[in-house]
Amino acid sequence: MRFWLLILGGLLIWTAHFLGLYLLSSAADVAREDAGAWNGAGLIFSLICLMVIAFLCWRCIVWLRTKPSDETRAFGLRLAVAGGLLGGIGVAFQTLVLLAPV
Amino acid sequence: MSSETGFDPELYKRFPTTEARPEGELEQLDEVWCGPRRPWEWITAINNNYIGVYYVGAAMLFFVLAGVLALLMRTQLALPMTGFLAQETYNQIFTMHGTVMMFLFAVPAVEALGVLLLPQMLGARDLPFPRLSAYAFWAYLVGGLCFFASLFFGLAPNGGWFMYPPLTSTTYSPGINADFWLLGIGFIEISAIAGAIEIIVGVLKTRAPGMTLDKLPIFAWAMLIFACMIIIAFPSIILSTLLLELERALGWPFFDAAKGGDPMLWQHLFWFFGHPEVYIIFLPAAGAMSTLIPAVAQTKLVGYRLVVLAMLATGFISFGVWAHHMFTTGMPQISINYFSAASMAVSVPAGVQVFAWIATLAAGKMRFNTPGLFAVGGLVIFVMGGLTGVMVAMVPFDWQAHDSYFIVAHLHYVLIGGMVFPLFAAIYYWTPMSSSRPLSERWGKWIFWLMFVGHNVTFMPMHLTGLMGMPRRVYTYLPDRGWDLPNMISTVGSFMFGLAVVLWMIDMIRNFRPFGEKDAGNVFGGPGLEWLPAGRYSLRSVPVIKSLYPVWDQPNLARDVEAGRYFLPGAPRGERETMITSPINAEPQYLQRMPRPSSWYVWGAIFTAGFFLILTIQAYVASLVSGVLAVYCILKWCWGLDRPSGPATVDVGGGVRLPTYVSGPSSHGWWAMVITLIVSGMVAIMACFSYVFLWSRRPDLWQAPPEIGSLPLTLGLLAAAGIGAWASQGALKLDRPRSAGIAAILMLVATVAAGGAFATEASAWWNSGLRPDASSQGATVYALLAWQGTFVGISLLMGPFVVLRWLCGLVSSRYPATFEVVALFVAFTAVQGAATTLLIRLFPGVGA
Repeated sequence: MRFWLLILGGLLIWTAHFLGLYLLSSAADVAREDAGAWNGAGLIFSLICLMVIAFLCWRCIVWLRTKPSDETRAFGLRLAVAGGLLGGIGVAFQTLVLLAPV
Repeated sequence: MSSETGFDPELYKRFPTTEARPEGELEQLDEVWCGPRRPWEWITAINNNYIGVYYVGAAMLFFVLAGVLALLMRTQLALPMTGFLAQETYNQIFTMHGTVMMFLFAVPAVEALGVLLLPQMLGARDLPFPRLSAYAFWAYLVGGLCFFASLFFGLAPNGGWFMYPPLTSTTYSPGINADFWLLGIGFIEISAIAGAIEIIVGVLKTRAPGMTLDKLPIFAWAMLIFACMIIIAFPSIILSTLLLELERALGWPFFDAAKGGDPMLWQHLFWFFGHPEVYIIFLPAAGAMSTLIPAVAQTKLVGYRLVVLAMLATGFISFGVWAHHMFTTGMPQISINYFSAASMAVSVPAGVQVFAWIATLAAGKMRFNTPGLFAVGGLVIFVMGGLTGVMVAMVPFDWQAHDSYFIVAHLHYVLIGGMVFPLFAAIYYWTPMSSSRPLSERWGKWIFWLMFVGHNVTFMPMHLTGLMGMPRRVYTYLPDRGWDLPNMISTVGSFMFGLAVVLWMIDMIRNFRPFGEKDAGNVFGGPGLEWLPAGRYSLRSVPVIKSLYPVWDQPNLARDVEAGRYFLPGAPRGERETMITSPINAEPQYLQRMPRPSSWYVWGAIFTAGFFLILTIQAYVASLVSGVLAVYCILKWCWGLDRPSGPATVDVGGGVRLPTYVSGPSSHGWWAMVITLIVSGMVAIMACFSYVFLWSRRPDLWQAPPEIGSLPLTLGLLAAAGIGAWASQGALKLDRPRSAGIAAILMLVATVAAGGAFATEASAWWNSGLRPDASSQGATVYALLAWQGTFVGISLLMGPFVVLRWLCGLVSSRYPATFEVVALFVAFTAVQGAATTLLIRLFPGVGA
């Protein structure tokens, strides 16, 4: 399970980020007050997601440099780094929506 | 290589073995895996070589039937104001065309391809649950044909393939047409989920030794992701069809705005399934493209790792785009922006795959055979559809193009380029493997060009008719709109496409003739295991995999595999068996005993289909009888499971001994149950979403929940159920003389406790005065209770089932697999019950 979590880490964080932003925007719609504050919460949440992705990528790169025990693990780690980068770009792209004028 | 299971990878060095194989071993293998000998055995067959071919054949039959409907529509639209089809008939035909193509052709076709190809590709004798595949197939075929036949009685659904309420409510769609769709499709999706479970466990657990994840064929990756997406997406359509049917049959107002319901809920639930559905059918087709393009170009796939990542990313991001079908519904602007951004982002992984295919074709030496032509043609069409996809992902453009023929053009470019052309490429590529005879290259090229030109002539003008303002789903149009010429061109193109399909059918019939030479071999020089010499038992022996392209990179592989020099060269116990391996490193774990054909799963499938279809025509007693018979057949089928026999370990070749029985997380049955529970959990999650969503629409209509006093009793009983199920497993493991009996009684008590909790909660809500037809709160609360009640009902069947097995001496600490999966189910029922109870009792709070 840890292996799969590692491989899918970046994409899982993208998913959590997307659903988180959707929930925040839905909550803002129901509350109908202070859109700026909800956007701020979204930005902080996005920042946290980006930091988690950065940590994941850094950790995998360190493990890759210390020569993984076999090809399959190296494959998983490379996939995790690439997935992290893709997830990070996705999170950043999604966050741009929050920077639009309220 | 480090070990995942404790298996010593050094043992792989014993293969290929050098000793001569015992006499009669191959003959025994042939006998054990023999094909049908009597006429009815063609129906009860379960081997993937038969079920896979049946499955592909049935899917293509529905493709042809839905294609005929398309031609009828195009005939009607060829000229303005024609009366070829009546308005109501046209409505039924366009609804059935979309529905049959999406639900009865596209998903089953790719699932069928998986069932047919995966065992050979992975080096397995068969997929781990062949009876489940057979059940899924027969349920799909019987249900699908009856569903299609509704057209001949004027009873076919007529609300469009996405069946939006309020159009499909009883007010605007009286009669049973919509019910056919709701019950038929919900049921066919259950069949798709059964196939997905088979594929996930098959890809993860039945790979050839050494086929680690980095050596997993790209098609298997695609099928794995496809099946996981089905598990996450399809529960949503099952729930939405159930809710709409409950509204239509019993008046529970989920979508009725007058009572707090909201038609938007349907759109959310439908498209949470509906958009991933596009990628669900695209990914296996893309996997097939990534498999056959290297063979066509005779070079390795460029960027294997990136293609795997792209498929994974497509799988994830596709779940974040559902609301791009709802841009014009008045959603909050910021939500629209999120979905717009995700819709653009999903084109990135699709683009990675397209560039990988182009790079592979450029790096190798492209051969313009029929599979190659279909692959390149599909690529061109898919890219064009993808580009218009980016256009409609932009909100202002979507507002203009929404519900116009531009969208019809876009979706057909994506689906035909992304799925139909790759499927035809796959059929041309793999038919020599399946029927031992290649399809005609000369005919194939004619078919390709007719289809390619026909497609573009049909759908290219639709971009223009759409931009000129022609709406979708109109049965005719006035002559002075400038739509006449493009419509006539589209009709001509559609008949070209139809002609191509007719020629293809003739070629297929020629190919599957029962006489003539049948020894095609590896016609296209493919690199995968499926191209090794094989019989009904798949490969003679299961090789140790050392490369992503074993046939290209491992010299003498075909010779050694055929000579039985690898794993499992025979049938060590004289039964159908396959090797189960670990999910990451594919290390041998145990030998699975495979079932032999019987008729219970076929009858089970027929009665299951009967239950749903008879329910549609409101013959409740007949439907109930069919349902009871279905349950009986399935219980009879389950009764024969988990009957260990023979020695505890056997030699599977090279002196390697494997156990013949395993339970818990290593066993295939445990995995299947966990995946089934994920499906159930997803339905519950979507139902909880519906509850919160409907509250957010009209909180003023919601009343206070029942008094808190009964909550501890409900939760206490659920805790007793969960703990009882867990403790019963522990009792069985103690392995004392009375362990089995105590465990069975504990399980029975656990199921009764779950039943008690359900009764307590349901009566608390009923006594509170809330009624399911009164408001959206009542509807969702009772829907959640009904869902939980279904699980409690199944648990209450399982409890006595376990006791009966104990009384018959079939429960033992040495053979706990059945017992463990039942315990898992009952524990899940308790957890699901606790979660939903807490939600409906505590949210939005007392007196909200």
